[in-house]
Amino acid sequence: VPGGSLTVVGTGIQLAVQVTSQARAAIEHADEVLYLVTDFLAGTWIERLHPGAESLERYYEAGKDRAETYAEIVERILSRVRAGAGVCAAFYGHPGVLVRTGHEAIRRARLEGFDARMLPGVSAEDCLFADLGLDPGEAGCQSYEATSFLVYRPAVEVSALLVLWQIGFVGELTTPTGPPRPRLDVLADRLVSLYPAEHEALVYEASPYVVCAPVVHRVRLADLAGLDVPPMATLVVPPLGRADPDVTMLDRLGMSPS
Amino acid sequence: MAKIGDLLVDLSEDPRLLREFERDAEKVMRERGLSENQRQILRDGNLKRVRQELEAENPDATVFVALLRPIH
Repeated sequence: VPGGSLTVVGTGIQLAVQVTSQARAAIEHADEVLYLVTDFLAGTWIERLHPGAESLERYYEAGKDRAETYAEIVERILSRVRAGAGVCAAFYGHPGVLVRTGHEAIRRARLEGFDARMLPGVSAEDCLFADLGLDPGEAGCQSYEATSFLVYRPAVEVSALLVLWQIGFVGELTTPTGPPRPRLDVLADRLVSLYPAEHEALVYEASPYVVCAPVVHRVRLADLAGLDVPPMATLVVPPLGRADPDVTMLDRLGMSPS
Repeated sequence: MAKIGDLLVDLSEDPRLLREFERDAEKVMRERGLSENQRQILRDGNLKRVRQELEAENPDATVFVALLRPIH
């Protein structure tokens, strides 16, 4: 096994308080730390834990294709592993949830014969369930990146919870050069084709600081198009009633309808 | 001048300070030398307003970066 290694960790959403002790130890004891976080204070905190930690934010540039940014980030992480360092790559939230670079760095490191592992973290979805009092096990949960949801048109089960990420950038393929202009009109059209226009959804943003409440706004789907949403907002569409049980299946399982 | 950013990091790092803040936020904020305007921002706990204040405290830094996730 070559000398370098890679540990990919998540810092959680809320500054410092949601990092696991295992992830914190990985940051503190790594030879080198590379990190990607949304928040300036989170960067300050990581650099306190590991002086000399390197931010990967510089790869995000206005107008640049996101795929190019991801490739450069993975290459930067791998270059330090190849140089023989015990590298910790720290990402905002959970390092394996909506973080393609975390998975790709692990995959490539292993392919090149290096030890590589991922440690779980607290994701934005975890915060969402806690803050909004929702249980994905109650009626099921569908979770999509908002632009992918529009482009790939997955079948939607309206009796289950629907969570759409990054609605503040829906329709954007590059890092915006100015204030984002999300295509909420297109998203609203798609949702209104699935749910009643009066159906109420929640616009949500987890709080990164212990002193701040999460952002939670109620909105009718019909009014979504004109909404000013926070950049990292998520849309939560509650279920429309409950699914009817399959009587044949109940019978086969020896269960009676409740 | 005291910065709310420093207090936010310390509150996240120090459970005893956080407990003290939850018990008597005004005392902690006074002891840290925060201005009345800074104290009001923390009392309100409005995320947008806190970010604006962090931007004012750190004019050369990017306080918040929307890291877009991949589209498959």
